Parts: sequence; structure tokens; C-alpha cells
Amino acid sequence: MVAEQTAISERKPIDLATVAGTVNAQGGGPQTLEELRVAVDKTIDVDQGGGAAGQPDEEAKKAAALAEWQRLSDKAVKLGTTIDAVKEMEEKERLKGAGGKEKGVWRSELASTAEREKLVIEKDTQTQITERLEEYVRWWRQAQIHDGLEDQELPVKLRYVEAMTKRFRDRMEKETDIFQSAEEVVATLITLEDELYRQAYAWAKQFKVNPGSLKELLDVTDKLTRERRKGLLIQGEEAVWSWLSKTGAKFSEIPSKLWGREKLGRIDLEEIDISVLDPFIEESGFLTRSGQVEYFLRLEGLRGEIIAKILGKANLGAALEDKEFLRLLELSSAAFDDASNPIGTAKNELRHHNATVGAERRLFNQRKAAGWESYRGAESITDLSPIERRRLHLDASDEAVAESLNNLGSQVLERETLSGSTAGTLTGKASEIRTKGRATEGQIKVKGEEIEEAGGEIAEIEGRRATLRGRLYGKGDKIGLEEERAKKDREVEGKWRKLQARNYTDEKIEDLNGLIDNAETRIETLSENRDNARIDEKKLDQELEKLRRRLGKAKEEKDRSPIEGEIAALEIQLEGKKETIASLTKEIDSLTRDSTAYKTKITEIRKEIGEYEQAEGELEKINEEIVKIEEELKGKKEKVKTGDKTKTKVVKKGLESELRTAKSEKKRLEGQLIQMREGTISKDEEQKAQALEALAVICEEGEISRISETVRTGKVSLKDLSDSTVGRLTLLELIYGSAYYAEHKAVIDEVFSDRNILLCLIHFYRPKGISIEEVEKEGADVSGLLKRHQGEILAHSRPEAAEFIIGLLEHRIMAGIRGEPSDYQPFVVRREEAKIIHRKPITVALPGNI
Amino acid sequence: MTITLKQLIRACPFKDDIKNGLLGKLETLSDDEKIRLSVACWQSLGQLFKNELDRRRLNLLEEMEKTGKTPTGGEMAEAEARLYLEFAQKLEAAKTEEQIEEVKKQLKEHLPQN
Repeated sequence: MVAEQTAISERKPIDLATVAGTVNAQGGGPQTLEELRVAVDKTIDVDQGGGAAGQPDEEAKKAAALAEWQRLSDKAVKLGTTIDAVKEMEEKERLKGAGGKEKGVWRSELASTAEREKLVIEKDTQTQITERLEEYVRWWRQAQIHDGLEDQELPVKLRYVEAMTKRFRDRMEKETDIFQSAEEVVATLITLEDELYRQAYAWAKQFKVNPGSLKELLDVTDKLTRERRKGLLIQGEEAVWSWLSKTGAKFSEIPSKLWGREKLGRIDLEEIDISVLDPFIEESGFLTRSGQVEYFLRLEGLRGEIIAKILGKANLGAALEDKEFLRLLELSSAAFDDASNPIGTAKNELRHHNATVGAERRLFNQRKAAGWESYRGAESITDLSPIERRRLHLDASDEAVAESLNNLGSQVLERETLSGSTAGTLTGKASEIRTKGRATEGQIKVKGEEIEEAGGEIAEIEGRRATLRGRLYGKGDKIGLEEERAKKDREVEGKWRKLQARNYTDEKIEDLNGLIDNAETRIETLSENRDNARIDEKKLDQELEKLRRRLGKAKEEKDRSPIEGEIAALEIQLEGKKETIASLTKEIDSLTRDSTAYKTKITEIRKEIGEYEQAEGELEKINEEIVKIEEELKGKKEKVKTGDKTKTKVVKKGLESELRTAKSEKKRLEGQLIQMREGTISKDEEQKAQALEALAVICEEGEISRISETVRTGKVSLKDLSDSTVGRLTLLELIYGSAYYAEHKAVIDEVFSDRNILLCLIHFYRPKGISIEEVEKEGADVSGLLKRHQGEILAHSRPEAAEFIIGLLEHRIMAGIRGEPSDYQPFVVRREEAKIIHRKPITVALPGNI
Repeated sequence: MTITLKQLIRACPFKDDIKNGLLGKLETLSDDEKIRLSVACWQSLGQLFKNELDRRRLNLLEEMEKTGKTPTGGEMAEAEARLYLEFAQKLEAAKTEEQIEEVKKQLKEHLPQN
């Protein structure tokens, strides 16, 4: 022992940097005091090799250095950082001249709540808490080891919790109060849970595993959250809807992983990697939206579990019977409800969501009972069309908002009424006291007067007594008449007795004086109260006046604002109308152009028909002439048989020549007729097919740039559309002018009452080389066809779907012509391509004689 | 210019008796209650705003499907702007640009995250 002391005393002053190096080299992080001592000793041994004898001032320095190390070490442990970091922080704080830990709003509020609640934690509960926290920290550390994390990766706050737990233990051993307040307990729990789960998810992301693999950490809450998880399925659906409405994408574009087997948007979080949801809600911060909700649920469950453990309950069910548990849970829950806390926000949203789900069912039943058309045949909400279902959800959400607001309003009013009735009671009491006071005042006044009167009498009697005594003694001394003195004394005594008979004794007077004092004090207090009340009244009058002024102002604003708002709304409407008019004008112009073109074409066709009829007439005449010539020829042949052979030969030659001419003319006219027939319907069936093919290819592949290219290479008549638009009519005419339609018109019209459906079918089938007969066969499954292309949203309504698809076709072509990108996904025209198109004149194949 | 609690209560879907009760006792409410009410009102308005906007988006989509109209791309932006104005009117705060902007800012802050 002596040798050991000597060895220590012989050591050099400690080099702190060397110690820090040694400590950090041992694995980093804060060490216990004992470990630090060992480290210091080792450093000294290394430096001095057990060398020279120490001096007393060196001992003092060493003690000071150790004390400093102890302080730094404690702080490092508390903050969960290294000694060097603490030193650096202190230096910064010193330079700044400021320090202190920032506390969240919720935390300070929690403190005040705890203070209000006057939560008292018994000593044995404190012991339990400490033990449970220690157990929890051990449990957490095991989980950390299980996940293969290094000590350095320990989150700062957790190390803080660990240090705090240690502090609790130290305090307990010293038999001092462990916790300063309930706030400290709850804050510890929250810090622990919050950081634990934040870290759990961070790990999950870091190691690219599903958070579920951290079972050691998370399983405890699974039972609690299972029911609520069902709500998350709908939450996932919401995410899908949100994504769709944000991007304008189609259902078919939703990543397949997000799709359930039957209904749209049904997501089973158990089956899929939660990170799939990331693109939907990137803005939600460190977690996905669903993840955030799940995080909250787990957290909430775990909080209950921890508090139950702390209170030594076997499970949550047992803990729920405990008032202390509920109070702790409520306190910690209040912290999580705070708007500054993201968990609080998530919790509120989940509450709203649950209320909405309830309202959905209620509304569904009401509407179904009321016989709403879109609800007919629907057994449950899921049977509604997606749009109707969404509408129901929105209406239910509105109801949930109103319900929640009204609940809050009622609560506030209830509290106010209670405090109002308390105020009423107090006012009544005050009034009672005032009345009593006034009565007492009156009594006091009367008594006072009586006392005053009695006092006067007493004074008078006293005076007379003194006079009599004076006279008595004077006379006695003078004449020595003791007898007279005795007589006078008796008189005085008699007077006193008389007075005593009236009860005006000294004692009574004293009592009355006391009453007077009390009454005066009371009067003073009441006067003071009255003055205060008058001041309050004045203040209230001023406030009332202010409120009246504000009311007047507000009324003025109210009168004015709707008119201005209305004007603004009308202006917006006007703008909208103007745009509509412009668009309609444009359409009318286009139709007028089309109409003029058609009229011209009709005139041309009529002219051609006239020419055709004329040619037919001529042909008939020629035929008649041929018949005549042939008859003549026949007659002449007979004559030849009997007449001059030479003459006959000449005539025969002439007639044959005429016949040839007539036949040649007939052939020419027939050719002309055929040409005219062909021209009336179309110049060339092949050209029309090519034109259709060109447009179909363009529509199918979404490559607008191919319009000009395809059409230029096709041997079809062209029309420059660079300064025009392709209207729906043009497209329909394109179809109706086709050979397919001409050949199958009757069947097609019968099968497909809506011509637009036909357009869609041709649009889809032609590029695939399927004949119209095959189209007819599959025609019954039009909804299936459309579903394949557009997703379920349109599948329920064939005409709408057809309209929609036609809209797409038009939109794409028009956008290409205008050099603009399309708004539809994925029919986006790349801007570069659009510009190229815009520079070159665009030509589209059209049948020549529509 | 800030929107007062009175304006908020008037604009929110409270039942008439509750609304009148709250407005009548507004001055006697504690600061805590006022803050709580104010936050709840803004959150409610945020949710109602989102719901209405979604509803109008649905209507637009449906109209587009039925009529075959093609969107110009500005319809939703226009609907949103109009809705901000309507909410400002509801809050009796559509008198100046500044007021409308304030309403817009508050609503954006209180929109639900999903």
C-alpha cells in the first residue's frame, strides 16, 4: 500500500492529450471514472516508467486534473459524446458566451402539465423505474449487438438516456430523490422511445432490410398494431390515389408491387417492401408516409408497454387497471399530440382517418337506404366505382372534420360553463356577503350609536363620580365627616349598580369596541372590493367599447368583402368564359373551313355525277346506234346475198368500219365510266388504307414525328395541314371513307351503335394486322379491350372510354401539329421532336374525294 | 394581417349552437383554449380544402371522360386558385391581396401530408 502510494506520488504531471489518446484508442466513447483512473495511471506509468519522486504540488495538480477529468467524463457520458468533443463544445460556448440546451415546446409544456398534475411518484415506484430502465437499456444494447453495430454508432440521445439511468441509480444508492419530477420520467421515456425507433428505421434503411427484421425491437407492439394495420391498407390506397392525382398517371402505370390481387390500390404492408412507397411521399422526411404512421403506431404501443414494465405490470391489460399507468400514458401522450411533434401530426391524421372510415360506413348505409343511383347493387363500399368511392371518402372526411370540431367546441364550452357556474356561485356568495356586510354595517352603526350614547353616559357618570369623590375627600379632609363620605360612596355604588343593571360594563364595552374594529376592517375590505369592482367595471366598459368598435369595423368588412370577392370570382369566371369563347371560335373556324371544303367537294361530286349521267346517256345512244347499225348490217347482208357482190363488199366494209368505231367509242366510254365510279368513292382504296395505316401507326406508337415521314413515303394524295387542325370529324370521315366501313357497314352499325367505338377498335387492331371480321368477333369484349389499355377507371363505361380514347388521339395529333407536348402520360411528345415538326410543313394523308 | 379566431370559428363547420356559444365566450377563453381552437380550426380548414380540391379534380376528370375534352393543363391550377379565393371569402379575408396570401399560406401549412 505504501509502495503503491509512493509510486503514485513519484509520477509526473498528467499529459491530458496523451490520456485522451489512450482512452480513444481503447475503443472511443466515454469511459467510467474507474476506467479513466486506470487510463491515467497507465499513462503516468508509461511516461515515467515508475520514475522520480513526486512533489506535494504535483499531487494537487494531479488531483485537480483527475477532478477535471471526472467532470469532463461525466459531461461526456451525459451528452453521449467524447471528452474531446466536450472540450471543444465548452470552448465554443465560452467564446459565444452563451450555452444551455434548447428544449422543445412540447417538453416545457409537459413539465408544466406534470407540475399541474402534481404527480407524485413513490419511492418504490422510483426503484422500479430505475430497474426497468436499466433492463431496457440492457435489452436495447443486446439488440444493438444483434444488429452488429459498433459502439460508436450508438445514438447520442440513447447514450444520454443510459447516462440518466445511471444517474438515477447513483441517486438511489445515496437515498436521495431519484426523479426531480414526473416530467423527467416521461421525458426519459419519450427520448428513449423516440430515438430507439428513429434509429431502428435508420438501421433498416442503412442495411436495406425490412424494418420487420428488427424483431427484437419491434415485436412487442405487433399485437397492438395488428388491428390498426388494417387501416394502413386504406392508407396505402390513399397514397396511390394521391400519386395518381398528382401525376395524372393511369392505373396501369402503378408499379405492380403496389397492386393487390383484386381491388385497386390494396396494399399489404406485410407482403411488400415498404420502401416501394417512397416515391409517393418523398416529402414526408425520414420515413415514408405509411412508414411514418406505422412508426407512430409501434411507438404508441411501445410507450404503453414500457410504462407497464416500469410499473411492474405483467402486460398492458394488467397495467390498464392502474391509475398511475394511465396518468403516465396520458402525460407522454400529451407530448406526442403536440403540433410541433411530427408524431403528434401523424397521430392527429390517423385519428381523422379512423373517424373518416366510420363516417364512410354511415354515409354508405344512408345513401343506399335513400336509393342513390350509383349505390344500387352495391353490397359494400368496395362495390362502388372508384370515383364514387373516392367521393364517399371525401364526404366522410368532411363529416369527420365537422364532428371533431364540434367535439372540441363542446368540450371548450362545457369547461366554460363549469367555470361560468363557479363564477356565478362566487358572485352569489359575494352578493350574500355584501348584503350581510350591509346589514352588519347597519347593526354596527346602531350599536356604535348605542355605545357612543353609553360612552357619553359613562363619561358623565365618571365625571360626576370624580367630582363627588373630590368633594367627598375635600369635605372629609375639611370637616372630617366620614359619614358623609360613606353616604356619597353608597350613592356612587348605587349608580354603578344601576349602570351594571344596564349591562354597560367595561367588559361589554371592550367587546363592543372589538366588534367595532372588526366591522371597520370588514367595511374597509368591502370598500376596497367595491373599488376594485368599479375599476374592473370600467375596464370591462372599455373592452366592451373596443369590441363594439371592432364589431362595427368587422360588419363593414363583412359588407364589403363578399362583393369584392364576388367581383373577383366573376372576373375569374369571365376569364374562363373568354377562353371558352376563344376555343369555340377556333373550333367554329375549323368547322367552317371543313364545311367549305365539303361543299366544294359536294359540288365537284355533283358535277362529276352529272358528267357521269351524261356519259351514260351518250353510251346508251351509242348502244342504240350500234343496234341500228347491226340491224342495218343484217338487212344489207341479206340484200348482198341477192344483189351486186361488188356493191355489197363496199357497203360491208363501210358498215364494219362504223361498227369498229362504235365499239371503240363504247370501250372508251366504259373506261370513262369506271374511272368516274372509282373517283366518286375514293381515288384509290390502297391510298386510303395507307392513310389509315399511317395514322394508326402514329397513334399506336406515339411518334408524331413519323406523320410527315410516313405520309411522304406513301403514294397518297397529300393535304398541307401545317396551318390547320385535324378535327374529330376529319378522323371519323377518314374511317367512314374506308373500304372496311363500306364493306361491313351494316354489321358494324348493328354491333357497335357508337361509331366512336369503331374508331377505337380500328385504332387498336389495324396496326396488329387483324381483320375487321376478327374485330367483330372480339367486339363483345370491348370493355376488356379498353381495360387493357386504360385501366379499370374507364372500363365501366364504354362510350366514355371511347370518347376518352378519341380525345387522346386528337390531342396527340393536335399537340404534334402545334409543336406542344401532350398532357397525357405516356403520350408525351418530346419537345425536340415537336420543334422539328413545327419547322417542317406537316402533311397528312387523306383520301382524295371525301 | 392575421386571421382572428373569431373569423376562423365563423368559417369552420361548427354546429350553430356551438358556434354561437364559442363566439359569445371567446373573450373569456383561456389562452391555451384559444390556441387549441385556432390550431384545430386551421387543421380542419386544411383538410376541408384538400377534400374540396380533390372533389373538383374528380369532377374535372369525370367531365373530361364524358365530353372527351382534352385538358389544357391549366384547369387544376385555376380550380386551386379559385378555391383559395373561396376559402378567403369564407374567412372574411378576401379584401386585399395580403389577406388572401395569408389565408393561402396558412392553408398550405395546414394541409394534411398524405
